[in-house]
Amino acid sequence: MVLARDVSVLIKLRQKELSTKPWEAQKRQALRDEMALVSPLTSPGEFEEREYVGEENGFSEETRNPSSGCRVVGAFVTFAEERGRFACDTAVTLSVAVEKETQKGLLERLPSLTREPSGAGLAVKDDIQNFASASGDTTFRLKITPATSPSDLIWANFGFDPKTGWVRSVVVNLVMLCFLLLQVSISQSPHSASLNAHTRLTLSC
Amino acid sequence: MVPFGSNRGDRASGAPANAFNTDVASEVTVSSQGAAHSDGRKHVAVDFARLDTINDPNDENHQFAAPDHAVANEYRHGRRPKEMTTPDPGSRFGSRFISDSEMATKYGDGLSFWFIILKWYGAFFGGLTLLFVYFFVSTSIANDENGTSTAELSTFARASLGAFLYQAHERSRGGTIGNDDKSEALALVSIDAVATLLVLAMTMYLYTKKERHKRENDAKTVDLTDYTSHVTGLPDDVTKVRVVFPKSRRPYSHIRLTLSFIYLRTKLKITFKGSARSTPWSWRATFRF
Repeated sequence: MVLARDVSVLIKLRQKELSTKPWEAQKRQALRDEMALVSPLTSPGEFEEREYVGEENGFSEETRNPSSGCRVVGAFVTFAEERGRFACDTAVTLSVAVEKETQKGLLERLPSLTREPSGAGLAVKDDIQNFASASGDTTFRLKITPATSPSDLIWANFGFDPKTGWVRSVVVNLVMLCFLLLQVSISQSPHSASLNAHTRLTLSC
Repeated sequence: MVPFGSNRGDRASGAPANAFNTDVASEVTVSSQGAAHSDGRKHVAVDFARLDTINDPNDENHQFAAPDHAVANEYRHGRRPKEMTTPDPGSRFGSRFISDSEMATKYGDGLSFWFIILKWYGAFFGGLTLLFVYFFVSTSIANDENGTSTAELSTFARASLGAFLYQAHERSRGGTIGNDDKSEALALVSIDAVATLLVLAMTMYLYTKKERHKRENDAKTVDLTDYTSHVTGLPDDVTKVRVVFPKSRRPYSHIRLTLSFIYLRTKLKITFKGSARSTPWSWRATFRF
């Protein structure tokens, strides 16, 4: 399993470091110290090793850099066999189907589902899309999809929240529409018409 | 990626037939009576005797056949994406007669589809050229009537609507525009509009063809994405240990439990009837991704 982290802070610090002048050694060192503070890794590979060593020592997992600013935004889970991936997809499909049925209010028609012990409602037991927090008081709703090829991923974009993607899309499209209207208004202006007349005159001469 | 079980008994892969025919399991979900359901839907009657091939000794799918390792290796080799930088003497890479699927295996979907697009665009723009024959003839006549040569109008302008508009402009000054001129202008503009619509339709068609081509290549090859799922929505501070390795005295996570169950079911070939329910001992199994 590989955790995908938001490394936008690290990228910005690295860009600042690369833009420093050769004689700004002190500023460069300060940026490197800040990167080391933010980064979850103190050296390549050490983070992975410490995690699994923690498993052998009674699951003392709190080995990551607590001050790391690189939050986890996703995970890539690779199964040992292809059928494991299919079984995971099947569980996700069941979970999504139940979710949709719940929204439609048709859940009562599915006899294979069980009622929660608390009586709060109907749900599938062992729902793969539910992830309980370490304290157990919070349940996160996961989204599990087939992974794309690693070469198709833009790791720097992992920090963007997909829930607000439509806002950026609307802003970009509005800006493009403004440019389009500006171009049309310029082409229809009287000055533009005189230019066209001049061009026609030039062609006819 | 092809769902497992769909190629059971595939002689091309060298694998022997599976003893359990899941097609039977998927088909027996319909009613055996052929009666109408309470909601009005008509169920299809199923011939269980025909489907019951598990216990049929004469079914060729259940005759033991030793796997052919040579065929299996060749099958596996053909499905694995090739390294572009590694020479592959057993293949036809480098040949001008390489197929699209072979090129996709070696160079990926994008490059193979590029050559498919070239073929389609070649035929498409050849057809558009034929469609524009009337247009070009009309512009040639307009240029002849106007006396416009390349010294006065560029080559592109002489073969565009500009030449015809120029002719119309000259005629309007002489007041000689008739109904034939208007019909000809409408035909030229219509050809232009039809060509624009055809380009749009062709773009949409090639997009769907590209998606289909991508799925077909995915079914023919086996790579990392066939084994990997992407999970989002995890807590910001989650660790691998917390997800993969369970802790005693801690509330279990469903993803950890389910992944453990999937792992055990595939590794130990455990088959559960009914819904997949994790057992208390399943989450104690430790494994690494």
